[in-house]
Amino acid sequence: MADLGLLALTIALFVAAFGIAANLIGAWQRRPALVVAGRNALYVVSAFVTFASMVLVAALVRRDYSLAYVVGHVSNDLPLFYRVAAFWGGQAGSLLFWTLVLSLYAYAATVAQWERQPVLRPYVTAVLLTTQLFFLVVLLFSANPFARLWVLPDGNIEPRVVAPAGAVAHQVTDGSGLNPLLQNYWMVIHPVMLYLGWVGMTVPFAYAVAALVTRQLGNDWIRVMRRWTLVPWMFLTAGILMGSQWAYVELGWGGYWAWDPVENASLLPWLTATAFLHSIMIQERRGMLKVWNMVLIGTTFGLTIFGTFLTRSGVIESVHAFALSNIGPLFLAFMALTFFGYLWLLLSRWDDLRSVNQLDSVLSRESAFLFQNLVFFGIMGVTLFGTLYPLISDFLSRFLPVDRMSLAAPWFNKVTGPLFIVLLALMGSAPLLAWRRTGRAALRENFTFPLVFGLATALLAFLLGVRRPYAVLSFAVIGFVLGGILQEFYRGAQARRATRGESWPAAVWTLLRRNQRRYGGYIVHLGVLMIAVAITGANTYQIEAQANLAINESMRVGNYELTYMDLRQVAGPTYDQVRAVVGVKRNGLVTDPVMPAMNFYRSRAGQDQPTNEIAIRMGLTEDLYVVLAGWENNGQTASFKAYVNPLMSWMWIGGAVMILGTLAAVWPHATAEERRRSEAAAPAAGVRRA
Amino acid sequence: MADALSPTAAPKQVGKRRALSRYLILVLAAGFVALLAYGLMISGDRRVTEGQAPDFTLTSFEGKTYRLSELQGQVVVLNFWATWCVSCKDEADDIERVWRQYRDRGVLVLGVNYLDQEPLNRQWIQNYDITYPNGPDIQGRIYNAYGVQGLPETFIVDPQGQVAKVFIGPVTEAQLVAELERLLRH
Repeated sequence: MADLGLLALTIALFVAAFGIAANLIGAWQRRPALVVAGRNALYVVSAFVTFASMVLVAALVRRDYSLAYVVGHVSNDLPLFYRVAAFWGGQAGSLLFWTLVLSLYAYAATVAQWERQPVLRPYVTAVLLTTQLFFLVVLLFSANPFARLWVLPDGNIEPRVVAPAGAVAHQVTDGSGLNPLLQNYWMVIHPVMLYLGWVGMTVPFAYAVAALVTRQLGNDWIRVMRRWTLVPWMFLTAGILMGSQWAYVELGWGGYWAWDPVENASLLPWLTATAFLHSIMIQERRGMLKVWNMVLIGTTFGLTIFGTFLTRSGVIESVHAFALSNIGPLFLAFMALTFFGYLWLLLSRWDDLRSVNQLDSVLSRESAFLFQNLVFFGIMGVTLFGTLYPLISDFLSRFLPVDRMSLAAPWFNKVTGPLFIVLLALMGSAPLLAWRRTGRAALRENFTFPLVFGLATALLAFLLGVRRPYAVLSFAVIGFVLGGILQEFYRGAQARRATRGESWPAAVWTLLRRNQRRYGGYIVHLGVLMIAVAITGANTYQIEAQANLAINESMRVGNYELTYMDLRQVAGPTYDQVRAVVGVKRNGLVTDPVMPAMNFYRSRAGQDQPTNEIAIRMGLTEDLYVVLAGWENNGQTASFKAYVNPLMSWMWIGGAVMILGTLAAVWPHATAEERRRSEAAAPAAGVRRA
Repeated sequence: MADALSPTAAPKQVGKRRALSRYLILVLAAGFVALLAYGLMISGDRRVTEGQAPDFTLTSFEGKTYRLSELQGQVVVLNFWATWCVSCKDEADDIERVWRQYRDRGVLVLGVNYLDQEPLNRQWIQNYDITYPNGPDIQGRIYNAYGVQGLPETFIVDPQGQVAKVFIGPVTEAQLVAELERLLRH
């Protein structure tokens, strides 16, 4: 059965190679039949990849221990949910999962866009197929999920696709189970979100390449690509936040973001994709920033591949390093190829990408967007530099008196912190600035309320006890942006009330429905503000304490008094849990006890490791976070780490708001047709904007 | 776009500057790829598999202290285990047999008990009738120093204090014997 999966991948490989050739030859020789054949090749590849994925999932669910991947990631006592999740829990499986997601995106994009963009489509299909081909090569030759375990004549057991000479099939009755760190709800959907985000960036990249090759650099493709970027962007945003949530509830160091290489790998393409989503508005409206858009979408795609390379090759040490293997060289070759290929395309088309318009004034929306591109790119650059610093310093240490070292979270916070505040301020200012240039009167009219609101917020924060300059500044900027968004909603709704006499809620609702892009965008900005509130609170006012307590002894952390009461052992479905009972008093008042624990996963073969089960009591103003760090003498004493994280919950609320806002912005316009009809019926009101 | 910002620059200068910036971009890109290639070349896990074995102090359950740097001249077998580690059961008898066989031939077996509970660990030692010294790895210091990534793992340190061999996962008597014989022959 599993051999069918292998067969499907092999066929897909050949069909993909054929499809690339068909598309390119079809485009050069202008033979539409070949282009159609190339498109059908993409459908076939996608179908076979989907089939191979189903075979692997079936093998995992049925515990088919003849496959090395199943033995390594599933065990007899692993529940169905995690057996399915094991599909993307290991290296070979996650690469197949990546290929599956790519195939689904490629199929969807081809079906949806086939009738439009006839000139671009052979190249778009070729780029999509090339990416598929690359992953198929990796799957078949380097990380094959359908490899079986063989006992070699010398007694060693090895996974191989083809039976080595003299080898016998290795019989296994139980597998070694899924990495315990991954046996967590967030960890199961987090990689799915990240992959949906990363992989989706292939579609806009394919269009960018096609536009560059054909020199069709107008605005048509970019309008379509906005939505094809926004959807993966939304998944990437969700994935990053879920990863933070996982780190927060599972890793036990009281934080949500450690600037770990793997985390950075997810942030890097998000930064350039976010910049791209904003920057394309300028190209749509004013035909400017074309080079920027090409650079941003190319960088985004490159960084998604870089991210996989980073997480899967073992180049940079990480707390998340789940898998090491030899796929590194293949990824590097693919990266170098796309990198230089794209760069060559870009440089050779540079003159075609020149702007139609020029910047008229520094005080314009265009220049604010140009500036935001620079800041986003800057944050990306320093994050990339910091992530690669261990390599850079290692290399330099051979010639210079430099120590090999990694840059830790404080460095990243110090360098990116000010840039993020500038970005936040730009996020607030850009919508208040007019296109081309902003006159003095408009400046006063648009900026007065937000600035006053920002100052008032800072003052309020100060009165509530916020004293650190950084935090006060951050709250001032947050207030300024919030003031701007409120003003936009107020003005829009006020105008509707004045002309149509609608009630406030109805006015806000129609505003949102009539201009989803704009007001959906503002909702996303509101979510960003909430996250900024959480980061400001948790980064500047986290309280931390640790203590080794005997039974009935107490420790203090912030306004809390924690008392060690008991240590128990409990059996879970796949693990044994050692659970401490800790009494909690807040401001002297007794509340429910919390139970931090450690899970010891039972597995039959391989290696075992314990995981932390942190007790978190979430609240809108602060979280109490208690970690069981260890115990001695059968629980007579136990050590705890405890944190109070102010405003932390706003990070997750803000994340949800961002997703809702994005959905509002991309949701198909149900009323667009009606609106067009009603506008056509009333030509007096139909003063169209350019 | 650079032109948009400096509309007064002479065309020739602009051309030169653009050529220069193109080279700069290419050099940066090449540097980036080269750096990653370099990273691939030096990559690997942090497990100490060769060279000087990191020094440590282990206080056994009997209260005796062992310091690796004071054990030079002996072959040291360092076994990381815990009672919650299922596959550690597979190797417990084998290691004990090897210890009994080689204890008088200049071999010291040390059991490093990682992140465990008393009295479960002492019961384990009784159950498997383990006679080689075992002690708790306080705060996982030894575990981290050796870059251990899971249990069980077994490190063999030669008489000069160099790591001679690492076994990942349960080790068998035959594997240990083969390695010890090789080291003792020198």
